[in-house]
Amino acid sequence: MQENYDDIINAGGSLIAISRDDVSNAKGMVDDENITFTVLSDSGKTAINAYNVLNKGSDHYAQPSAFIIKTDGTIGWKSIDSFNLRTNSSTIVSALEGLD
Amino acid sequence: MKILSILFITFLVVFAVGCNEMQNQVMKPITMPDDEGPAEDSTVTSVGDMKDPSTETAGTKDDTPPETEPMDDETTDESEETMEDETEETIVEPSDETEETMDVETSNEHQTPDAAFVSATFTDGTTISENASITITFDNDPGEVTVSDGSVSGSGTSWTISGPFSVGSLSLTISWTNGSGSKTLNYTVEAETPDAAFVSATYTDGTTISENDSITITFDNDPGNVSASSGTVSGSGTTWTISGPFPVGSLMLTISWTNGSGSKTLNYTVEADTPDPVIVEDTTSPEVSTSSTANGATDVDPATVTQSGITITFSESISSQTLKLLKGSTDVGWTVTISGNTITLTKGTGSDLEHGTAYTISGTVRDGAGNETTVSITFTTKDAPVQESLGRGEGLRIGVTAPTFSIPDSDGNTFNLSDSIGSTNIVIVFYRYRH
Repeated sequence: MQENYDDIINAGGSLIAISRDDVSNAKGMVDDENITFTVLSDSGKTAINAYNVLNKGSDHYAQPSAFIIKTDGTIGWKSIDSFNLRTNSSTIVSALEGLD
Repeated sequence: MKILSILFITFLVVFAVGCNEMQNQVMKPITMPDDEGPAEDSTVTSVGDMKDPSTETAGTKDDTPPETEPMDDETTDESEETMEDETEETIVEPSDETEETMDVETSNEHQTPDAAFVSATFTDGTTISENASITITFDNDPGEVTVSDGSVSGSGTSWTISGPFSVGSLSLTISWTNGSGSKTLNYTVEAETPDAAFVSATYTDGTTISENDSITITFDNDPGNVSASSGTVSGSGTTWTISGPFPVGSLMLTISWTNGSGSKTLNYTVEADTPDPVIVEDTTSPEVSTSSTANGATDVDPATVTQSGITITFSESISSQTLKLLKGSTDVGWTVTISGNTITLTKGTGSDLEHGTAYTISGTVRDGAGNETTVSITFTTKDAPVQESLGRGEGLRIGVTAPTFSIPDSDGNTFNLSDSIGSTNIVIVFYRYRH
């Protein structure tokens, strides 16, 4: 995702990644991957529950998924994925470019 | 012959004596009846007396009458020389004295009758000024007039008695010679106040005064009665006060006084008074009038409130507050600002509101007078928008309002999603945690 981050920016978007990792693990990932976008720690599942993406089989994980929140504050696009098949960056860029 | 001579001489002697007695008989009525002097002064001098010219020269008033002149014709030759000498002398001087005698007789015939007091301009028992002038009237010329106090002048029947008189009770006795009369008039004499002159005023001529000012006037002497063309006059002695209100605008204030009949005009510009502010004690505490998130409200959209904040309007201006937005007992860190009678709570660096959560705005507010009110506004946000048609893990429907949240970033700083909404499209990616 990091390698395609500029494409997302160029498509008029910003990127936020959320997992149940605690802050230190989130920090470790940012450092290890040299990530420049925002990585959030949702150990309390606040955002995960709000976006209804708690994994069906486990209360410990977030379902891999992606949402685009438009500038008017509404959901403009979403993608519910699996651990084996995740939405790639080019799809997201296309979605950004296809928003109303 | 010798005998004849003796007889003739004797005759002359007898004749002379007889003539002398006749003269005395004739002149007796001339004697002054009153105070014209002693009777002897009026007595006509006898022929015998005339023989001694020195006596006549000494000043005898009355002398030989003209009837003695025929004696010359009856004088003998012998005696003629002697008699002529004596007669000539007698005739020269007595002629003047005779005129004097006649004058006296004339004055006695037109003597001024006794004078009596008639009236005075200040009647007995009245009060007069120490420098007053009293005019008195007689029915006839009083002659010489004298008074016991003051000075007197006049003539005829009208005389004036002028002061200064002694201050206090005065018995003024007036005496006159014609009729030796006197009259006493009793007065109360008051000291005369000197003329007063204007000295100064606390507001000088040409200055600006306030409509309710008081102007203090000073005189060099007691001015008597003082009046002014505007305002109210009070005072005594040499210090007087003219108090407003005076008419606003240009004022020509004329001050008049009786002692010296003086007056003074002062020009002022009169300005309206600014009324003193009425201080009303404020004992009323401020009250909540409205709140954008009402007390007791439920199903409040947390995203909307997080974005727009909460506005509370009070019944009066607020000067201080201790309000906090609490989640349970935890302060969510919203910023509170005061503007007049409005308090606004904004997220600032605090947390986004969450779904399905009860919040309370709690604390106190005070007005400028220190009246305090306790505020407690409780509301509950609506539950998260779980779509019935979407199962667990299926996310949200397209088009719904994106839920906001506040969770830490990788550096431990709180990230508020609401801060990012609106500027760009936001891509949120959920992924499985690494560990």
